[in-house]
Amino acid sequence: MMTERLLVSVVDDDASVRESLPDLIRIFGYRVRTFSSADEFLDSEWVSRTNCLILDVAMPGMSGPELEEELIRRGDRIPIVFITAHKDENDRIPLMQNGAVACLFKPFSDVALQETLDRVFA
Amino acid sequence: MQTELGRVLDTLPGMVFSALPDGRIDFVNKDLADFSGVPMTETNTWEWPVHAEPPEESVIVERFRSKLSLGEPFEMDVPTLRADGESRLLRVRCNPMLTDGKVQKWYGLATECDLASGDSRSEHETDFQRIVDSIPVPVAVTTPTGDVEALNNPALEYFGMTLEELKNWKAIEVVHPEDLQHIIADQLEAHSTGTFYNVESRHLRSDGLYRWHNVLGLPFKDRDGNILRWFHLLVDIDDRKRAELALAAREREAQLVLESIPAGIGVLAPDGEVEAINGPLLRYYGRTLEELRDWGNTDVVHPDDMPRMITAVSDAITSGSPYDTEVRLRRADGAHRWFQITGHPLKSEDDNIVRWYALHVDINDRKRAEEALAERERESRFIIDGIAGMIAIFSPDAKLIGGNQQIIDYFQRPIEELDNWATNGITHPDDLQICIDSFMGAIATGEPYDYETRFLRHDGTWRWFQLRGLPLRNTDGQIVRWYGLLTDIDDRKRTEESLRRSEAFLADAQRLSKTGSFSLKLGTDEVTWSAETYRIFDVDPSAKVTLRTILSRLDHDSFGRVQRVLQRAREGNGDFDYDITLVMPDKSMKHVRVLAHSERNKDGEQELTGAVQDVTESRRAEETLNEVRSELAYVTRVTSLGVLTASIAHEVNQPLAGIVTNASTCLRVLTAEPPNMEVAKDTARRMIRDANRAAEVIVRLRALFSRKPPTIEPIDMNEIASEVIALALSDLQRARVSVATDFGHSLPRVAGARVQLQQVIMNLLRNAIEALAGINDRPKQIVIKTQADPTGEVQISVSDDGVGFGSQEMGRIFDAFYTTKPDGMGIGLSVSRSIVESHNGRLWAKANNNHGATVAFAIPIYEVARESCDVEVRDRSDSISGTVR
Repeated sequence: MMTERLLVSVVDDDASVRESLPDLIRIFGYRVRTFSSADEFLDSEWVSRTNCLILDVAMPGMSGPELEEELIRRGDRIPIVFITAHKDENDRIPLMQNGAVACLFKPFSDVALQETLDRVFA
Repeated sequence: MQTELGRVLDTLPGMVFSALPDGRIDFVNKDLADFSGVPMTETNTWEWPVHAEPPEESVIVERFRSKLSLGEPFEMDVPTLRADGESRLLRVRCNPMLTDGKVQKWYGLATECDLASGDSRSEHETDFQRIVDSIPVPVAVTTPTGDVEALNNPALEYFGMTLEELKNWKAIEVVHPEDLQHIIADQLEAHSTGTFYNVESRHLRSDGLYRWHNVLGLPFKDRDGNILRWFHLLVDIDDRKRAELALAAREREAQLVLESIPAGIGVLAPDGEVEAINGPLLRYYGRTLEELRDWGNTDVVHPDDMPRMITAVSDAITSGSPYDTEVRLRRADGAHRWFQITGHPLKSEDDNIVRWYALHVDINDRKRAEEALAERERESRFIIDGIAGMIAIFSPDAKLIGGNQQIIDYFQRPIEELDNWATNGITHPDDLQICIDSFMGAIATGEPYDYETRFLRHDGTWRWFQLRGLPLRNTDGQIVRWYGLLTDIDDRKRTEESLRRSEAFLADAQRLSKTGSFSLKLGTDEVTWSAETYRIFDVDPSAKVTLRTILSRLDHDSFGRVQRVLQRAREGNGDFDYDITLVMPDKSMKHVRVLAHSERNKDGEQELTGAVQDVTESRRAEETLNEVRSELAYVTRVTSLGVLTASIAHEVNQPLAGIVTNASTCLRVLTAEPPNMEVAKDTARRMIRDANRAAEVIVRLRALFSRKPPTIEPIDMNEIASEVIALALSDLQRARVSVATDFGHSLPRVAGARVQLQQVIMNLLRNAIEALAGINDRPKQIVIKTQADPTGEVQISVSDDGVGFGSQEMGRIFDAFYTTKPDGMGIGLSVSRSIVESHNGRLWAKANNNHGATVAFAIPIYEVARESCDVEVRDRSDSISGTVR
């Protein structure tokens, strides 16, 4: 399958998310990598191979939006899907401003995630 | 005289001539003229008829001249052509006549060398006597030794003596005794050199008077040059001599005058040459006349004045008009003194300048005095112009007649205009009357004046001046002048005004802050109080305050404290900070704080100064504040709960996200064909773990509210609502929101935990404030209303006319995750509801008719309160009701 090659990277400081999401994403048919911080992701060899980035907003150290800015600065235009536990509709607008594909509020359903990834790779 | 001498010489028995130093013969006597046959020309020249060949003739003439040039008596032979054509050798003897060591003239005697002698002696003598007698002036003939041998008749007549008497002439004072020595000396001299002599001496006339004569003595020699006799010719020169002597005497006298004049006199020739300088001036300079002849190149005139001096003198010499200049002359000791030098020409009758007389008068003292005076004048002018004020000078009839530069500068008008000060607008209209009254009053009475007024400066600004005037009186006591000093006091006036204002400010500030000031001179116990201090001590401001006044107001403890302070303040400098309690006349108490400082004041007296503040009310407020402070800490913590809840929500959502994802995965792998049991098991395990995490978060949240079990007590709802409004005052002010209260009267007390209920009210109030945040088109107002319910409850409602919420949202407002505000305060309402319900009360919300919403809660009154005092937060997030019971 063509999608077998696509890599979804997950950056989240929360272990629950890092443990639960890969199984689900693999079911969707993508390869998956998890990182516990923005720095870990940036320092890895996977940045350039990542086809979609699922990114937590509030993290210790570099936040999700800051990582997004850094990638833009580097010229890596990776499609980003923000996920956040801070449920506030007002936050969604600034998050989407820099070109993120979607913003999912935790807890989000498997359907919502699948639809989002389908949109990314459509 | 010349002609007379000529006549005399003519009659001499011998050939006589005179020659000028250059050899020109200007006189020959008759004998020589007759001998040679060459008469004197009209122009008094005579050519010697030298008888020789032309070359030899010129040699002889040359020799004669060269002899003359030696200036010594000489003798030479000259071959001469006699009148009858025969050549005769003449021996010529010449003597120079010296004046001041210079040869004026030569006198010569020529004799025939081959003249026979002796053979006709007696005849010759007879002739001789006859000739001598015919000479019209006295002639004496003496032997070579000086004995008188013969006198002619004029001589005998003159002397009135016989020849015999006159033989002893040296002894009988024929010659004036003063002249005798001098005559004898000259005669001896002439005798020894064999030449003639020519002296002036006085001779006694027969009438007993001495008359001046020019005595020409000529030797008569024999062929060998031996002097046989002397002829003495006495030409009367008495009139001339007397004139000369008189002139000399006058000159001497003049010289004496010059010397005795105590001023310096310089005498200059018409060409400016220095001829004489009198003693005083020479002594002043300490120089000789010789040194001063070249005065223009010396330092006798001050270098600065020398050019002027030279110009003055040379101009005068050129123009012939007098000069007058003042210069500094150097005294012998090197000091320069001022002299006035006036030069006047002395003119002869034909108007030619003969001399210049320059009078040097020492004017140093005058000059110094002038300079000092000028300096004083300059100085006083300087002082007047330098005075930081304006000077006006008035005549006795009040006319302005002068002023200093400042007054002119200030008004920039001439003095004549300033005289119309009453009408020309320079005096401020409001001050005009006092000016006229004060000034004219002073003029009329002669008393000094002193008043203040505003004057218009040239730039159009009014400035305040103090005007002080004094009359100047003459010795008769008459006023001759008024001197007015105008001092600019505008700044002082302004300072006074601002001082007055700041004193007023200070009084206001003291009143406002209930702070008074005082000073106490410890030496005299003199007390000064500010108005507020009077007010604090409740003493009539007109009363005189003493230390006793102060002490009488103090309670027992304060009395002792103040006494100790005073003791220490008297001993030295120090700072004091103490509290006293005043017992007022109505027995009420006042708490007063005192800050004071003791030190020596500018007069050297030990003084205690300080401030007293009435702290009675603030003390009371402080006590109240202390009571609420402990509660406040908790309330603050609770009111910040809204922020806290956001992070709690985050904490809860994380495990929830895990649970949801795991559940979804689990479902998917179980429904797959074949089901992936491994993954399913993993997800199930993770679900259990995440659910436990979420539960832990909830436990933590509960712990926040159950930290300290609050006690249930009877609560006055109006009171706690008032306190909350007070606590929120700063928030209200910042948000520009006003709060209206509509409190019910005589409300029953409710059973509740005071702080928890306050927290609920605070929550509602803050929600209302935030709901009003975006409102700009109407006044932001919140109404808090309390009332007793017939159901045994007391109800309180908070209404705002803010953004409110739509009807579909109404069901969700107590949802823990629901909020209409960005600050995420949603949980506030849900917590509030938990609190209210823990009090067995109820909380509800409704939209208002126009704008905004009203949130209210009701708490049972104390009598019906249950015993339970546990307050818990219950999870009612599933509730959709706006009203909770």
